[in-house]
Amino acid sequence: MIQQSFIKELTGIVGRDNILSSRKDLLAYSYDSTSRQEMPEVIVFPRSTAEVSGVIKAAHRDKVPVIARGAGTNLSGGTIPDRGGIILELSRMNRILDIDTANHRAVVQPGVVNLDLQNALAPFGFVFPPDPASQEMSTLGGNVGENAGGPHCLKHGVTSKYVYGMEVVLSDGEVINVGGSVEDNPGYDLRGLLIGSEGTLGIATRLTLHIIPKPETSRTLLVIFETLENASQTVSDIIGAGIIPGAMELIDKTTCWAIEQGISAGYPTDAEAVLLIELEGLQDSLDRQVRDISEICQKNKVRELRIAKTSAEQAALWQGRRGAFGAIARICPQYIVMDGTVPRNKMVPTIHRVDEIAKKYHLTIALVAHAGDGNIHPLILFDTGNPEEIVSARKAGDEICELCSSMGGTITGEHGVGLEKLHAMFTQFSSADLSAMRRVKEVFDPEGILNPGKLLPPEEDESLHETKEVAG
Amino acid sequence: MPLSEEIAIALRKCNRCGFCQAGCPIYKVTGVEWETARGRIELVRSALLDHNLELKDIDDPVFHCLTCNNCVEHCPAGIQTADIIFGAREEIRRRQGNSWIQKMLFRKLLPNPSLLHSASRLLRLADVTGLRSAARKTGLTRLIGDAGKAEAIVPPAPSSEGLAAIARQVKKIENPKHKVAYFVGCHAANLSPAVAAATIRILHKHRVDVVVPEFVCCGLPAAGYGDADSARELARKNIDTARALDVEAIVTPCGSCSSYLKEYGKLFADENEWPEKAADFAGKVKDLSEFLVDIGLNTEMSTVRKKVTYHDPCHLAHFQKIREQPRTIIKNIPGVEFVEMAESNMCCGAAGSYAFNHYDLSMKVLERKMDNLAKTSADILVTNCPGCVMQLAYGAKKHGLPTRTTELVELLDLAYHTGDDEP
Ligand SMILES: Cc1cc2nc3c(=O)[nH]c(=O)nc-3n(C[C@H](O)[C@H](O)[C@H](O)COP(=O)(O)OP(=O)(O)OC[C@H]3O[C@@H](n4cnc5c(N)ncnc54)[C@H](O)[C@@H]3O)c2cc1C
Ligand code: SF4
Ligand code: SF4
Repeated sequence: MIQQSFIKELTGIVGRDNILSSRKDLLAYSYDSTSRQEMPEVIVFPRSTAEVSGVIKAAHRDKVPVIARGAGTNLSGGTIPDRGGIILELSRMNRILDIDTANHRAVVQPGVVNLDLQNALAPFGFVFPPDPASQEMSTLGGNVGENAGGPHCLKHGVTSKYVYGMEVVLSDGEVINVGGSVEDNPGYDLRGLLIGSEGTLGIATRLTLHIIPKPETSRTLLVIFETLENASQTVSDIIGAGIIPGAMELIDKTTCWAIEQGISAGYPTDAEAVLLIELEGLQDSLDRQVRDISEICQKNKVRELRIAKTSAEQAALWQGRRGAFGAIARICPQYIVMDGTVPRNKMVPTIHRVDEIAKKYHLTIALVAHAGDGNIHPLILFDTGNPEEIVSARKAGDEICELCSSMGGTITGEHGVGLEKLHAMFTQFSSADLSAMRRVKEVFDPEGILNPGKLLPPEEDESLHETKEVAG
Repeated sequence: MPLSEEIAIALRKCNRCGFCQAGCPIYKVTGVEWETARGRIELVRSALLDHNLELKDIDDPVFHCLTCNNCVEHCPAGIQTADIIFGAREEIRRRQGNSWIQKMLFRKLLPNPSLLHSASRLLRLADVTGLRSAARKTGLTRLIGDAGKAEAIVPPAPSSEGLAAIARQVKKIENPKHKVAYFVGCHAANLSPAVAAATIRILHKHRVDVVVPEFVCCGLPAAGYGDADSARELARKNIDTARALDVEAIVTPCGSCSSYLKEYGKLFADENEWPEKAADFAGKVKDLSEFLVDIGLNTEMSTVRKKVTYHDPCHLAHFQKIREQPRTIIKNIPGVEFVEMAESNMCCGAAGSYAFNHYDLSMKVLERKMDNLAKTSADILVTNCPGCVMQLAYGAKKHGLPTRTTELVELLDLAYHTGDDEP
């Protein structure tokens, strides 16, 4: 429990207009994009690195939990203040500090929204490749916190590839710089360690990002299949043929239907699976790729291949894909999004097993996938008003994690561990692996104030799980 | 249960995805979660359905909302935020009661055009006698808080003879092609008769026979305040007035009026014959820009050599999805160089009486709009809602921009008549 005097001290640091603590304020910061909810004790809106450092110093002294938060759109319970404490809301550190196209670099504060950066880069003909479906609202600090990916990460790679350096406030309030402003730096790669650390090792207060020129042109294809197998085989064949599309998304029937209920994006509602493929590059090479891909699709008994004719059609298809999770809310307001990654050739058997899990628990599970990477997002639908169903949904989620792990994949591709995948960490890692991670956490945050309880499962719970055998 | 079933369901439909943040003008200038639809919904649900928050605690989340519905464009679940907010306001008012001044406005003045007209004459009298500036000088306006600060937004009231005078401008049309009822709206009738005159001239130009019935206020201001009973009463009057008319459409150049008139169908969920009558009425309503493009815009116009940009009123863009028609009209005027403004469909912060109750927030939203306007370097900023015109004109003056703000009908009227002269 934090005291009034502590809140007063924080007010002194950030100013009266940048702190909230009434009951309604706490409620508004008690959730993220999962269905979890816990109350924080105070919310501060720092506007500078110095203010972040001041808040952290006070929290460090009094051992108060600090949870960094951007837009609060993570899907892992990553900003749920389940131990109370301070929500460090970075939405007011939202300035783009520099765009340096000559050196392919942009410097931003962590609260800048991904799409706002893209819009600022557009006049220069540049993009920041990581494009999570949440890019309209998620912040770059949050993208770094979760090492976010997106449809276009198939060709370009995820956030960690696009962060040159960061200014970070450590758990005692000290400010350090990691990485630099170029690709390769001497010494330990602390930058790599901090990316995806979910606010448990330090708070990023300034990011030096790698931006790239926008591809000359792009083409969007909607490919419609009668069976999942055919769609999946097409994915393997395209990559096998040496074509790397900018993006290659798989969307199942339930999800297509949900999308079309919300906005008319142009998806069929009666096909088992569709692929949304985006090709990017030079005009000539695109024509050739489209030809090659349509041959591959024919071979795999495609029902129909549509090429978006106008940029409006192209935009509608992508808007539909990006809105997929939300559109599912039309069928059912609450769902758990899974985020496993499996080797591409294991995708079909994995999806069939997911179907079996759905039947076993009498649940509906919809599916979208970054198919090119084998990153699948089964969406487990449940009714919050039905306690039994909540339990079933959680069990199904655990089974899907185990499934992905047993298929030789991982429990989370891009959404992070947070609270949601905490126990699945035991399936993925051996106790030695986890203990090495705990020692890292010890070094960075000996008092355990930075987003405590996230990412690393409690050691004492280990006996409850069969841990993974130590690799021999 | 006090809250309507429909709204209760909507409150449970939000899945916290957060997409609504992307569209919210208030969130963009405050960064506070309960200023987003997601936050407002969470808190309204907590107070009204889950009862773990007191009613007084949701005052700010509910009354800070512009009800602009920009978030709806981003919400994959299709949640209608303005409906939820109006419902919550109604519930708050129901439990707290209305103030006398609101009762006076919504129950006495708005249902009665001639009384309303007298009231606006008083406002003009205050201008003529210098009462306004005296009040300003003595700091009286400051004493009344935000409404005082916002006083400057309202331009001096012109002399107006009210609805009857507007009706007198209607001419007999030879071989009319269409016949419509013109819904004048409170603002044009009392504060900007020039807009009404222009509207009638434009309709005549299209060989449209016009009648000006004694419609009362559309009801939006009352509903926005949370006085749904008054809004329904006004709607009943208008519906009855329209039933006596033999017209193909009810048109208005005011985006807010057309939007709310089209929603009459939603107002009477369970009152015997009213839902049907209301739906009939709503089906006839057309925004003027929509109507003109539908019947075929008369393109015999003079040249207006100006750089023009357009601001989408929320009630046109987000509530009626009318975005193209006003642009089509502007682009058809010879000589006009049309420039698109960034975030043209983002609320200007006027939002009915919002600027009067939340001056500082409204000004932050306006500032963002003015930044975008400055980047267009347009000579003329066109829009089609009197609230937006007032707010935007005030903003341009405050931020020292040379751009003139005008109603779409005024620009079009100019093109039909003199051309290049200053509108
Ligand atoms: C509809 C929808 C679609 C999504 N699609 C994708 C997708 O395609 N790909 C994907 O990867 N994710 C996706 N997500 C998940 C989510 O949007 C991403 O994880 C995003 O990166 C979170 O950003 P945020 O600003 O909301 O961060 P938050 O949720 O506020 O925070 C996320 C984590 O980062 C930490 N953090 C935030 N800021 C900082 C900082 N400055 N320094 C250190 N730590 C910090 C937080 O403590 C937390 O652990 C989606 C979510 C939704 C709701
Ligand atoms: S209606 Fe407008 S102000 Fe209200 S929550 Fe939606 S976007 Fe924000
Ligand atoms: S976009 Fe819609 S469903 Fe998503 S959080 Fe906002 S209101 Fe809720």
